[in-house]
Amino acid sequence: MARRSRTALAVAGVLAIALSACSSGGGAEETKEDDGPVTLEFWAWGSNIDKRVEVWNAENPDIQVEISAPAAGNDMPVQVLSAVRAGQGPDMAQAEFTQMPTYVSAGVLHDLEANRDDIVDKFSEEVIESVSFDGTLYGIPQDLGPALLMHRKDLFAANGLEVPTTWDEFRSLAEKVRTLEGGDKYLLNFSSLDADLFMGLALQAGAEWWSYEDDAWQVNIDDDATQEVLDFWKGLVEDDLVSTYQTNSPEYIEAVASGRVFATIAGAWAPGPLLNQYPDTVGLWAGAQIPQWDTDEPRVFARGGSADVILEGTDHYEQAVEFLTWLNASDEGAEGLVEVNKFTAALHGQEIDRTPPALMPDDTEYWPTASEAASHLVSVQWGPNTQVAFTAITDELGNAIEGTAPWEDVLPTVDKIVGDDLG
Amino acid sequence: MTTTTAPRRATTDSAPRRKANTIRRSHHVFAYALIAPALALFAVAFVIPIVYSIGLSMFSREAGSGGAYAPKEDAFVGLGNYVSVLADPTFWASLQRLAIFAVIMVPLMMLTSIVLALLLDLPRVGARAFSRTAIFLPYGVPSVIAALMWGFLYVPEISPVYQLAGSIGLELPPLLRGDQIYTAIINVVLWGGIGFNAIIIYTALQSLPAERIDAARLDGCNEWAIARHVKLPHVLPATVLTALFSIIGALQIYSEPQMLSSLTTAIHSTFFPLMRVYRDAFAHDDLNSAAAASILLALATVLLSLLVLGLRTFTSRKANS
Repeated sequence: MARRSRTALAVAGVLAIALSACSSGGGAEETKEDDGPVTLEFWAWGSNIDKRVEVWNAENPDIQVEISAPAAGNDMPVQVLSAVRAGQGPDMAQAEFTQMPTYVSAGVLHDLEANRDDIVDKFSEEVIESVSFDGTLYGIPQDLGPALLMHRKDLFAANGLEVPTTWDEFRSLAEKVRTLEGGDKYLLNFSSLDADLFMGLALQAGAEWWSYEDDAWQVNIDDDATQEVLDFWKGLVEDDLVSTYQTNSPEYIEAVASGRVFATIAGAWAPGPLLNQYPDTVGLWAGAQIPQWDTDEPRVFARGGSADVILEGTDHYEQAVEFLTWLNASDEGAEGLVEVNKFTAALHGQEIDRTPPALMPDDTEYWPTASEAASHLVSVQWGPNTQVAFTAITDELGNAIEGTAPWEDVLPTVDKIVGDDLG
Repeated sequence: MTTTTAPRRATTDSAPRRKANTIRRSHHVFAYALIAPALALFAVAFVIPIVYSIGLSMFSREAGSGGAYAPKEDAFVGLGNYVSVLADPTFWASLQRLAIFAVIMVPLMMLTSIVLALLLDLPRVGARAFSRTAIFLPYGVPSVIAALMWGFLYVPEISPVYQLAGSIGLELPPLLRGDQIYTAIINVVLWGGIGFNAIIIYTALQSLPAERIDAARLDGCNEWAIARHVKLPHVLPATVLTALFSIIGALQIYSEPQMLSSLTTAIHSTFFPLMRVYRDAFAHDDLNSAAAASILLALATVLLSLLVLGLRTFTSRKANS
């Protein structure tokens, strides 16, 4: 009996230690100071934003911004969500447009309605729409990624190839590239990992995957427009007219570096990463408009593009808005973003005369091409579970490319997974 | 808990007994003090997370009311998450792939480990210490690094192995395509695990009395016969232990396929159960469903471990008899 009670005591003691160890995490948060300098925590992955933060910090001793990049784009939402739920979240974060619905339906974002008027007139209506949910503004747009056909100018010229303007021409060109000497050349790579690209291609063809009617979400991924796009790419893959390396896998990078893949569909931000990955190809690339289904009515989708958001837990909403408005929605800010090679979401930044990207120092047409693409952007209704759709597309397209499931299953399966997740 | 039963002495004299009790009591206090840090760690790193996960698995984040993007709300669903995990065909498909993987990997692991250990134990093996270290070294390489390294060797376009084979007109099978992906994963796992398991079996061999081997040799056994009739039965319990490790390792397989998945379309996000858990928790922000699936997996691990441990008791009893 005595022994048992001692054991109980020991266990209780252990639990007490464990619990106290557990609870000693939250205490440091409470220091709220209205006067004196505040430090804002800003999680952002975008390259060169730190340079803009330095400028701000030098000019604003009272509002210091501490920038850190806890994760690359894709893993960021989960890190932010976990941190906010644990009461340890940052004041501000960068969010891809595609990730905004995840944040909003997780309920972790501070709305920006109080400052709406200072923000909205700096951007196009479509851009404001992509950061507004249920009519409420939740983010300040930073950069846009209108899709461009980034291609190897030198290889196109050497082989007498012309940039395709329609998807039919694209297919003929892909056939032609396959007949080039060596037999190992491809016009483009199509990877199941690029779910956002596939969604963009479907959007271009007129798909509307999510719609909200009568207080309920409708999922319509298995529609005619998407089917048409899928059939087009299925044909290219099955006839071996495009390569199917995993994006950013070593074999893909090797294929691009050695000039075996001639082009890629990327956002206007592409020159930055391309320069990092293939420093030997400076001057060899050019940007062009993506192929169209109907050239009379050009439609362009975005690959990427991001906004900055303010998290629910912040004690410094006013200061955060002040900083983010300066960074993204002021003329000075837009000029600064242009300086660090961003294609700004702000209209002012898009109109600035600027030097070509470092990847293509002679290509004075690059930024005008990007602006032209941005003027044809289609507006998007993101579903609240866009991430679920993306993993499902990656899985099902992967199965189809791999040959473990028929192409006909891709859209019905994705449609069902996304629908069930919402139901 | 285990060895507290002191022999009972029938005695009428109470004084020595009281003394013995006091000594025993102070021993106990001392013992508890010593194991307290371990218990505390156990509670913090094991019990509390499990209790927390069980709690998580009972809730679900349901769509909130008021608009298309209304914040989700926590709702108690009891065993609902378990039911939906068990009703999900991708869960069973991932278990099935896990079973295929384990059924091939575990016997191969045991077999190769035994052979390596027996080879190490052969008399007249030179540089034994060196071989032992060389065999053990891959175990020290983190599985993520190992998968990356092997991944590079698997990609025909950049692999020196494929290029070498190609230059002499040999066509190697594409290991990152179709069902060959099992070969690719199992190879990485074996490469990392054989050394560890071989050393365990080798250590067991070291405890074999030299007289028994000498006796067998005097009886006319050659090395093969000694291995077959003396050494093998002796290391059976240790081999079962390595099998246990391998089975638990198989259930927890995650980093190797995850790393390889960036190289191939043959591995998708729900290929193995833990990858599915990761997808739920970190891509879909559905911690509740991830917690339910994890607990189901943990239960399966415990059950399998008990089964193998039972087998081990059985075999060691047999080996000793």
